[in-house]
Amino acid sequence: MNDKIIELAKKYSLYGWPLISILISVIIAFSVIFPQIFKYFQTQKDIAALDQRRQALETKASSLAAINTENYQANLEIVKTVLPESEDLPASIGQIEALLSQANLELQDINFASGQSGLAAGVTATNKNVVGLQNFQIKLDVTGSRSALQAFMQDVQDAPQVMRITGLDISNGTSGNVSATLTLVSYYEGPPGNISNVEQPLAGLTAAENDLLSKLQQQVATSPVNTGVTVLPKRGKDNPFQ
Amino acid sequence: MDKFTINLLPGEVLLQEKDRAKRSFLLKISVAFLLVVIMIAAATFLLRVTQKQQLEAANQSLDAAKAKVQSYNNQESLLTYLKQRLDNIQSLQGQESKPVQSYYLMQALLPPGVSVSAFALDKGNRIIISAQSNDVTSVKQFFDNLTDPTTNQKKITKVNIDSLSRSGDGSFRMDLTITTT
Repeated sequence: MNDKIIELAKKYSLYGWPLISILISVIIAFSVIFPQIFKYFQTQKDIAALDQRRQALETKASSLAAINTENYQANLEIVKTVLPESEDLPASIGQIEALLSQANLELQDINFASGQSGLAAGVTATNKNVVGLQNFQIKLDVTGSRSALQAFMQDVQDAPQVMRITGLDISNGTSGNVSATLTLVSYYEGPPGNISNVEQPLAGLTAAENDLLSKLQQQVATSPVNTGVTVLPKRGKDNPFQ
Repeated sequence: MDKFTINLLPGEVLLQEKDRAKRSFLLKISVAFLLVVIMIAAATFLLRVTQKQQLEAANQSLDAAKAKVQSYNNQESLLTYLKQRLDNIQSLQGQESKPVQSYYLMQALLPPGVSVSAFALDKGNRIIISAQSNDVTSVKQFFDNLTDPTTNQKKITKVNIDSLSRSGDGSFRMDLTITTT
């Protein structure tokens, strides 16, 4: 038996070194070379992705650098006039008084009530996708001519600060005048919480938004209503009912 | 003249010599192959080390770009804020007041001989109207306008006559509830 083994060992001892060499090579290939090559391609992809992100960020940074802060700040003030940051009751009352006076209606009573988030009931909207919007109600009892009431309804629709009529109750009064109870909603939008993620792509103002901005600038500039673009320092609470 | 060579070594020695040469050749080949494999492994390792440096550099560039964008945080806030408000204003400007629309609809449908004494909207936005007229033709015309889809532009879906009376002086009084689309 032993002789047979020795004889076999002698016969195949010629292939010992090549076998050992192949075995070690296979171990090295599977434990080092192949994993490294696999990781190499993976890392190349990661580097390319990082580079792409860097390029996007640099483009964003250059777009942001081109923003004229003063100009945007002025535009924001105009936009805040149209859609205030809080339940700015003095501004709302100011606008209503101005519109009533312009339409030649007499105010008998005014009441405020807290509203809700989003769009108010009693309006039809083409786009209900609104973010962070809130409103409060203003109830007005007015008297005046029917034409004055109509003019007031139109003026509310066109007024700089966004208000909509959601309730209307008209009855004939004395000497050809009418008494009307109007429910208005006044909208506001609080400041946004957390500003976007640093890597979120920057969406500039679209042509439609620029057009709207020009329209608002014109509307605010030509409005007879003192909209308070020159902002007075705040005193007391915006909403005394809260 | 041809030379004659005579190998006087025994056949076993010759075989041993041949075997030794073969072993030596295989050993050299094996060692060379192993060395090539080790060199390839070393090369891939070096490549990975270089690549890691590239990755680190790319990460650093990304961090620098992020820091640059963050330095414009004020501008970005301003733009985002302005854009969101403009979007909301655009949505709000698309709103139409249902009561005002209803009022204008009634105004368009009222014939000259009929006058409204009260106009209101209930919670379901139905129009509740009290009207009067001295002329039966105007009353008829008013009802025709309310019920004819071509005249009311299909905006009225239902008209309820809550009351209709005629007083001693011949004037008509009516209370209607009108459902609009």
